[in-house]
Amino acid sequence: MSAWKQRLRSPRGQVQLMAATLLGAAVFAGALGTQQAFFERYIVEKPPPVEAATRRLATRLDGGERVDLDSADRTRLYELWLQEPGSAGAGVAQALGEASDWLCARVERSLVAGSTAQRLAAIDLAQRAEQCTPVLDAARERARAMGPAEVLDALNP
Amino acid sequence: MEALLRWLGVQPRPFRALLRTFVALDLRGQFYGLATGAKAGELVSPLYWVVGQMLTVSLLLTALMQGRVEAWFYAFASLSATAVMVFSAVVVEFQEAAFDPKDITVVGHRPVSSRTWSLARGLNLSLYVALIGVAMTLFPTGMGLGLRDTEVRWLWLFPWANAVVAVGTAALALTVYASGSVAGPGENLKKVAAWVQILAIMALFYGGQLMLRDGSGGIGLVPLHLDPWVSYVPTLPLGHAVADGALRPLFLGTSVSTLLTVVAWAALRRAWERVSRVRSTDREVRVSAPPRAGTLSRPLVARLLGGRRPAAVHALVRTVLARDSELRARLVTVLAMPAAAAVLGPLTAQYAPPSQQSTTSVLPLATVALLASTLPTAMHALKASRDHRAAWRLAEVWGPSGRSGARTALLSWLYWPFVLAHAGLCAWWWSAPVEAALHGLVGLALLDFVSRLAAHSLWVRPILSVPPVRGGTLGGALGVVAGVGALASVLGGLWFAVAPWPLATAGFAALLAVAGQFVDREIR
Amino acid sequence: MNPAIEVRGLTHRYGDKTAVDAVDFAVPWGSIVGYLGPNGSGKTTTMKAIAGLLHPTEGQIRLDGHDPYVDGMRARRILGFVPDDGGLYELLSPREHLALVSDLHELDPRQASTRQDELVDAFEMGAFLDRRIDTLSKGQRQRVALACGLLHDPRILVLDEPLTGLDVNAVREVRHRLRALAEAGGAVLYSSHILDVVERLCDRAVILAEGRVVADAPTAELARDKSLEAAFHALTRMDEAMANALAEAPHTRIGREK
Repeated sequence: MSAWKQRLRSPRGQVQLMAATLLGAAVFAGALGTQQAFFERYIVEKPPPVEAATRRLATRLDGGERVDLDSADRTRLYELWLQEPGSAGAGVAQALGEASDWLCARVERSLVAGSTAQRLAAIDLAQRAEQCTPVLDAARERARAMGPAEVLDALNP
Repeated sequence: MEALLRWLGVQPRPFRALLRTFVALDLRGQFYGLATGAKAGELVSPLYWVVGQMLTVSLLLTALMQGRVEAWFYAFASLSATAVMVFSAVVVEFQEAAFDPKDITVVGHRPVSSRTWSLARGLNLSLYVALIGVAMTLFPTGMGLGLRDTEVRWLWLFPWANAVVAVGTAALALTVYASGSVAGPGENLKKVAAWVQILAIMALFYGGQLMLRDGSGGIGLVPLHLDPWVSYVPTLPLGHAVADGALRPLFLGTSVSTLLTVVAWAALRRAWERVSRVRSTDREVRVSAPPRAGTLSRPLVARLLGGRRPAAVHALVRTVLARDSELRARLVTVLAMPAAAAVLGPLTAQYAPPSQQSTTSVLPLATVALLASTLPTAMHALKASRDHRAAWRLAEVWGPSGRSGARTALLSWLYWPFVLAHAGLCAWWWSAPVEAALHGLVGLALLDFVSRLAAHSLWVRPILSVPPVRGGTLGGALGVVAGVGALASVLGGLWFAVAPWPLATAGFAALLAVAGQFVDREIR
Repeated sequence: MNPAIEVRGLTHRYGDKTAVDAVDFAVPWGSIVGYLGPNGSGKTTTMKAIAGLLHPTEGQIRLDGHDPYVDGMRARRILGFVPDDGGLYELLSPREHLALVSDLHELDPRQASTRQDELVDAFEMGAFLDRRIDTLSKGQRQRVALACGLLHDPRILVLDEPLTGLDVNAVREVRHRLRALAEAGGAVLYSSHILDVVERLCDRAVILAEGRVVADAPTAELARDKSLEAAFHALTRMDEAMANALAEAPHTRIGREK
């Protein structure tokens, strides 16, 4: 056995190896602690691309037409709202707001799993629907602690 | 120091000698290998792998939560992980770090007081717990400091809380076992605790992927909808205290931990007195009744397997599988991947029938292909096991009939049940029992072919092969394992290509069965 | 004067199995007593009870008048015990183990060092003094165990199968040391299956069968007609004729009565 292996296998060598590993882990942990932006980059909802049919449906709803929406329609409209803020309007918000429990749960999810832009869009929708106050209140508390500032601003009355 | 020890009724010189000895035994011992699978002959000690395991768990956990949860939940989850890991570690190592039966024959007849021994053992255990505690502290502390809602005080408040949790948990585990049963936790419980450590890593690794992949923000939603019972978990107020900088719960926790430590020491001392006076060292070791080797060598089984010799090997492998926990640990490790695919697939809506040939229909097939690709590794692990005398015997009889017996034993005890259960899952998930049955049939044929090929290839000593590393999974058979595994994956690809046509799929299964027979005849 | 070892009515049960049953005997100072019996007759149980490792179900044990379960520290200071499994931490080296024993007995470091050197020479341990015990042969381990049992120069020595695995030189050394200890006024309780050594070494022999004393007699008396081996065979298989003949010898107690 080579000398360094023998040294490594001795109790002293094992203690040194362990100490070096823990020290390395401490440095690595400290370095990762400064990379918050890296981790936050991965906090984003990834809905599939918006289909033309969804856009047409949004246009019909915003034009005041009444349409019976099923769960899949609502999901697609919500994802349109998230991905293209401004491309849907009050009609879509009102239609989604009619299923208030579903909408509040979905907004709540976006508020923890979405990017800043997605969170802002979700807040906008929830505020228009005016039915998700508890969710928005909880999100405000959370944003006070964790930010980001834009989200907190959007949540403040 | 000397005066303090004397005041405690401890003999300073024997105490120092015992502590020095116990630490040396920890660093040289193999007993920390239960949860890590580490073995003698490896360059670093099993204790090192335990520390590495703890670092891995805390790194995965913190990386998973980073930026997704508030500081209080981040602290709560990290502290809870520390409690689980420390408890399982103390249970697993109780006999060695806290109460080594060997102490009685080495120390029991020497003029050493029970206080001296118990303080030395207690301190030895404390060093072990401290090592685990530190390993579980580094990542949550360093990475947690970077959270948006933590301040500099996190740097000392989290390690403080973590120390409280680690010490308190260890003391609690010690008190329970030292006062309840002097023999310590039973073998089964120790195995369960060892598995807690292994499964924690697997759950965090695979579960973490699931959480990050599904995009539904599952982990971020958890703190918003905590079940009421969680409020009774002691790490919750500590987590809040760390996040809010509230010192009172931390002082309270410290007091409770200190009290528990004193109680644990007293319990350990009493246990020592009880054992050294009442119990003998040759106390009965309870082992769950192993299956009788030879049960399967009955005429019917012998006829099914083509002779008494393969039937005997079959029984032998069954015995090895039942008794060699480390072999089982290695087998479960290789089986974890297909098992994870079978669990994660349905959960992430990627488990459509292969006949649809979409991106979401790959996994049901990949699960079986992955399973087949683990066969060479499993077979090699079985053959290379040095942990049971039966495994030595198995290595000796690894001839044609030995291979046949070993192959059928592995298949019948592990792989066939997996494929059949998987077919059942598919039938339920797809609501298409016929397609699921066909899926199972192809799976069985694939296993049959790959297992025959692996059994023969592993018998023919591979080029560049070396004696398997003790405790290693692959040793010198890496080439064969990789080659046969890759072939299994290729066959999985072919299966996917014919999946839309049931007749072609059945033909593929028949072809595999014929190929298996061909391999058997030609190589024999 | 108290006998070195006194055992009165010693009974120990493992569950419903009685390992030793009302065993009486004594080891006087200045003597070596052989403790003999077939496998499973209760020898190791008795020895562990004497060493304070196994509280007997019934009966009394005294080491120079001290009860090992009441006045354990005093009893253990004068006792040297070599258990059948050696009683060694196998991950230590012999040198480390001897140092541990020296510290546990709080021996004077200089005297302990001299004594250690002497034992290392006597048992020829120099070649493997720094190897881990788990890498040593059975005979080498037994030498380490004996050295650890003798390091603190005990006045009472209890040895359970001490010659297992030893070569001829080591056996001679052990015999020499035991005789020297007895001649210096110490006492030895010695369990072994090697009966010719017992015959030559021990002053008395206590023979156990099925947990009971079947003979407690001077070795010379037991070996009077044929050999100790023949007497052992007759007593443990209860050859009535020979047992009766032995019973007539002076200072001899024969029989299985409780």
